Amino acid sequence: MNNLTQMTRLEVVVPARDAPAIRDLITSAGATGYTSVSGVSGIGHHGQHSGALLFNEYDTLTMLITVLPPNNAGELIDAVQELLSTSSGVMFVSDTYVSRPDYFR
Amino acid sequence: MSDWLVVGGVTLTPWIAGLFTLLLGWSGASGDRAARLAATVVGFGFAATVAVAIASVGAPHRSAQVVVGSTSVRLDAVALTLSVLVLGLSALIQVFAIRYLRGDRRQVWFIVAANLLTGFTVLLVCAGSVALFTVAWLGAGAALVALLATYRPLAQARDGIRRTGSRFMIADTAFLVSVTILLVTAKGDLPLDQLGEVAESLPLPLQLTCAALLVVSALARSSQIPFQDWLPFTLAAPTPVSALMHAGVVNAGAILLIRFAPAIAPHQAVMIGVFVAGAVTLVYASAVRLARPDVKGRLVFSTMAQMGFMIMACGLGVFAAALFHLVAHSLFKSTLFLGAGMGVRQHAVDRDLPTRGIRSPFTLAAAVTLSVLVPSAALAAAEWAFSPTVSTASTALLAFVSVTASVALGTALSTDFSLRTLLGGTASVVVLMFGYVALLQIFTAALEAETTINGAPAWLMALPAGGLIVVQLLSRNPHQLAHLRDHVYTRTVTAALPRRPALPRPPAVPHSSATTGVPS
Amino acid sequence: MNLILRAQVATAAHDIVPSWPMESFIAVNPLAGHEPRPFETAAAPGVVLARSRDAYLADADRGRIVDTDLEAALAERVPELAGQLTIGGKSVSAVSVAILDMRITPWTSPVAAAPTAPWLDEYLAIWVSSYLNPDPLWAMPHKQHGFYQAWRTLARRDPSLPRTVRRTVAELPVEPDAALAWALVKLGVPADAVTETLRSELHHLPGWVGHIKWRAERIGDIDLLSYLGVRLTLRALLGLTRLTAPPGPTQADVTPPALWHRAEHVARSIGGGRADRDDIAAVSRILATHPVPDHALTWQQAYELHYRAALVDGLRDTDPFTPRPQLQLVMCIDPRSEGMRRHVEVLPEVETFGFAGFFGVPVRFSRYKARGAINSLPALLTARHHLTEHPTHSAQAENHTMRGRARDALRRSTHRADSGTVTPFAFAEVSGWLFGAISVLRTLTPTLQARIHRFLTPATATLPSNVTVADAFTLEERAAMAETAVRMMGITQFAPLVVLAGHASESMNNLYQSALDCGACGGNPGAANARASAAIFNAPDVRVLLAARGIDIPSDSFFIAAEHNTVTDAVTLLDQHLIPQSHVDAVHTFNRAQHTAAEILIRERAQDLPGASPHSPSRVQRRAHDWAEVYPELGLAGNAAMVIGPRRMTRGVNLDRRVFLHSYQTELDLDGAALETIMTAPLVVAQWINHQYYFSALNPATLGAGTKTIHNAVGTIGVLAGHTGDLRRGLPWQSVGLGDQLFHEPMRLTVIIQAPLDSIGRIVSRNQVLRNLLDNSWITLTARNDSAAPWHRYTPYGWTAAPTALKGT
Repeated sequence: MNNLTQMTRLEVVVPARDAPAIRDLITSAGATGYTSVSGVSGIGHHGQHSGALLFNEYDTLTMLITVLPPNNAGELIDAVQELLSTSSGVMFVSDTYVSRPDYFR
Repeated sequence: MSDWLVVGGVTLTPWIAGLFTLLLGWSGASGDRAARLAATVVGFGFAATVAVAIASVGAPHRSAQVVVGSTSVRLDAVALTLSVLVLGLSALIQVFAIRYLRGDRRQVWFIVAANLLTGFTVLLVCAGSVALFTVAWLGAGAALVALLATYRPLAQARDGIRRTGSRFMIADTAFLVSVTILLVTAKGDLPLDQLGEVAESLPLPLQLTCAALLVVSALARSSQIPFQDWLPFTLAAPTPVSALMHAGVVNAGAILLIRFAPAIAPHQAVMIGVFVAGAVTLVYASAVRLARPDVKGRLVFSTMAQMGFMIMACGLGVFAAALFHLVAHSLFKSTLFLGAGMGVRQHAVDRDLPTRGIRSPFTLAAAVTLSVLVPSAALAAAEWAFSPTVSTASTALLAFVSVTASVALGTALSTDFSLRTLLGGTASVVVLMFGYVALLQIFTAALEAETTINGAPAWLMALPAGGLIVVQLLSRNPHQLAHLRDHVYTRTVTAALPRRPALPRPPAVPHSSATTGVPS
Repeated sequence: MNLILRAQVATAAHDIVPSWPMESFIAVNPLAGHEPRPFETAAAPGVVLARSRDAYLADADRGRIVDTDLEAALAERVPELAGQLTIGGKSVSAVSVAILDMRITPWTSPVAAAPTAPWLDEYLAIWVSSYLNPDPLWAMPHKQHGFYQAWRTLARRDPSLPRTVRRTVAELPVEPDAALAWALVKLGVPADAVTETLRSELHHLPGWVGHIKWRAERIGDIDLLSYLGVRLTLRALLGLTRLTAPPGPTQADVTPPALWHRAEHVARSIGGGRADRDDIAAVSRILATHPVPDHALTWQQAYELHYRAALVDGLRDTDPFTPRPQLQLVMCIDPRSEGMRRHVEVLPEVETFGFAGFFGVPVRFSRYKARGAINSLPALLTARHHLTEHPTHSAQAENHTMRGRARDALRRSTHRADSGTVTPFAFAEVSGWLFGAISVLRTLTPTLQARIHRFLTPATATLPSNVTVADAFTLEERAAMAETAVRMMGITQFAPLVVLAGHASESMNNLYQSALDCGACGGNPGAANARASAAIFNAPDVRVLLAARGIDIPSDSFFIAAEHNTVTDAVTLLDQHLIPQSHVDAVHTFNRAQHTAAEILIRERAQDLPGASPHSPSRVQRRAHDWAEVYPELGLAGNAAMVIGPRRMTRGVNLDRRVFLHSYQTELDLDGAALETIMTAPLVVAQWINHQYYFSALNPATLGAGTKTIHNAVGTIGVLAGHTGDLRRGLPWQSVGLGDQLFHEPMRLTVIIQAPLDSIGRIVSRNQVLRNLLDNSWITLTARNDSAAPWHRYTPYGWTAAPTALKGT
């Protein structure tokens, strides 16, 4: 763990139709990238969600994962929280460690 | 007697059609039947007029006329040409509207108003005396406003009516003043062919006033600066109304100038005024058109520019060219309006066309050379073949034709430099040039000048031409002249915006310190 | 960057439905943002959810709504209504009291007011449309910097703004976030009211706002942040601090009568003068369960139940055709296919299927060497595969391209001559004469005009070619797509000839032509997908893989693509060069059958088509080329239901071209995967279409596009009504009505499925989109396990037996 740098990791699961807004926030926050997993399944506050649908990418759930320096993460977390305050979706925030911090700045 | 029949056949059909529609509408018959009947009746009127026109070609120096006292209806060459045009387009547009306005609750209103407008317009072009012309002029204005009221429940339509009505009111007052002076001088109705003598008998200041007032009303009817603010606001009426309007009523300005030429044309100052109004409108409307995003908005400002061109030609004194432009543009613009819904389909057609290749400098140079040489040669040949003597003003107008052909051919060749395009393009240019010059020649011959014309000097054409070129250059968003470009663009974008309503309080002025309140 | 503000803008815009451009018209539910909530709460300013009381009473008078329907509707909506009571000595049921109340108590629905256009809206409409102008003759300077910055730079010279404002524009922040934040402070909006303020600002110009939202996600040259930046900055600069509410509906001028008064009225009309206070009190207790504002939707439900009862009642179970069919025809689920299928099926050896019109092959398609492409796939998907054409003869292809280039040269040169500044005058003088002649031909003899046009433009003729499906998809993908299609449709045996017919609509001068094309192909013609699908099925290597998965396609089965022209009802076979000699006879048989069917169908359609007569079918076909025609066809008007199940349920039943038909067989889909795909894709697309029609019919001024006759196109983005204003949304009046009468019956989609209730329930419970739609009454679902089982109705609390009237006996 010696050569690793601490970063903040955000995972957001939202309906696919709300994903563009989250992506916009992530890029606006200065994150250098994100990972998008479409068609995630699970059970949550609104009940069950099946995974990927064959002919419908619009009504599925998308998970967006991004990693950014802790001092940049605060504002993004607040913004996503604001966005999720009225629509469905969840956000998980955790500390994570990366080996090449310059990739995320 | 036969003259009565002939004149009746030409002028009465729209009235009959309108009356029948009114009766059918009252009796509760379906709009569909009324529409079919009206279109058929006007169609017969068109056929009759064509027959009269063909017959009159055989006897060019005897035009049918009906004279009551000094009031008269005369079917001279201009009257017949324009009657054929007006009745033909009206019948065509009414046939179009049978299907287009099917089931529309305002269908009957449209038919009645359209026939009223057609009737007055035919009367206008056939009027042989000042009083009758005045009646037709005022009637056509009123009928246009009625036609614009086809969709009266819409707020935009009511706004259009208000604007049109007020502009026409001002202009028609000017017209009435001028006509009253003429009629009082003539002590009664005044045949148009005696207009020159009566006008000349007036003292010069009065002559000039008369001429200027006539010009004012012509400018308003053709939506020319400074009366341009009504035409762009008339789009809340069904498409056939726009087609009819842009092909007919807006041309009335030129008709007035042509008919009242004996009172206007001798005064060069007035003619220069006409020219300037046309030229300014031409440049202004061309610029606005470039910035418009909507298809009908573009057509409106295109009409305005075309009217500017026509009025400008009148100012130069080349009335035949103006008349020629009027007829061709009417056909042109009515087609474009009726087909205003083609955009999506055209886009789909373009999508399937093959990708364009990259042209080498050599082919581009060849394309440019050919596109300059071929049209000039064709035009010169056509001129030589048909009319060896031409005035400077006509030459100036022909320059427009030559440039247009060059642009068209150059674009075609730079898009596809192939033998097929070269041959096709050259053949089209030659055929169109010869056809153009020949037709123009026919118009000039038919419209012999009977009066002294002191037109604006032809070199003035350089001004609007220069203006147009500047606008064209600015529209390519050059890096130079950024300030001028931004200025012109912003003005054109907001040109059709109604005036901002008065504000309850003066606008807040943020001082530079106010920006400190901005979270960064 | 102000992230919180961005999030607030996104929150405010959450319920806004993106609206697609007109060139690829996608039917959407304009109120889709309300789908997570009950249907009846979706009413908004300027939007009504049901028709007027007079319309329903008229329906009751002509038997379109009968008492049984009202009883059923009340039973569903007000389950506590039960029992008997005695009024003035007469014994009546509670339900009949409620029905009487519905008939005699007056109410008025709020009139959907046409949006007014205050100056700020008009100003913004002009700037937004000029900025987005898709084929500008003069592109907006500084466009590359984004909407807010372009406006900020240009507004300094805007003569329509006061001088003081112009001067201060230069001092505005450069970034839209900062400008918006500044404006909110300036306007005195408290921090906790920001989202609400932004939301109410987005209610103005809903058409442009919806399009900007679509564009931000798909193209990205404008977003709602920069739009709001301009809008609120301008408000702040002009001192328009009072943020006005969006145009509301004119309030119903008659307040509903008080409960007691209602009850008195009802009691008197039952018991005459003998009704006393106790009777009235009893009645009022009943009426309290069904307040007047609920009446409209109860009427609407009765209206829908009447149709559903008749539909379910008409379903049957014809015997399966056991010998091998000689011909199979697969058509889109589009209701218009139903007519063609019904008439082709008069031949017993013909079998037809319904499947989403993109045939399960989602592609971006471009013609051979073409410069543009279409996204021929449902709007629910993103295009990932590019399909194009490969010509069969290279010499022919060369010639085709040459013609295309020449045509391009002609079009470009006329366009440039027409759109320059110096050239249009002489251009009009020269071409006006030609245009006049074209006008006459188009108006008087549209068919002849079309023929001449085809003759003069050989470049538009189709080039004999094959689609490059093997390049677009791997073998494995192709086999998977084929298997999916077979399992979704439930084909058990294959005929020697299988026709896959996509559909397209042909019309002239019709800005909404795309709305008449295939919805499953993203508002495009479906021919390309049909060709791709046929090519997949015909490939021997695909068949080998399919055989390994238990799907045996006999070697003598040949698949061929076709296109159904929904205006002329011609079904044209495509890629005819591929037909093997052995199948020529079968093809002839199909052509004959299709031709006969088309003749009957077009007469049938002519009965409903405004201005058409069954006696002159050629005039109906002429509408494909008629530029004056505003009713080229009726499209999906009348759509009301969707049936998912084997064709045996509906074969031989006249469904009046009102029903989406998706073939499905439980036997081929044991795990329910195919059913889940059907319920989450074709069903959702059908629901979008259904609600688009529903709301365009009920709210022509706000959610519909109004009359076509004053439409003014902004490129291929959309239309304005008149010279300026908001972009119109939805369908034009000519899609749903004639004169002042609707011909589209606005009904929420009735879904009928024949499949195990358990698997349907499981699918619904794990797809939020279906839970939203069903639990909130946006659509209804009626199902049965198999042809012998009774019908059940889906409710949020489980399946209940469908009312007796719905039992298909």
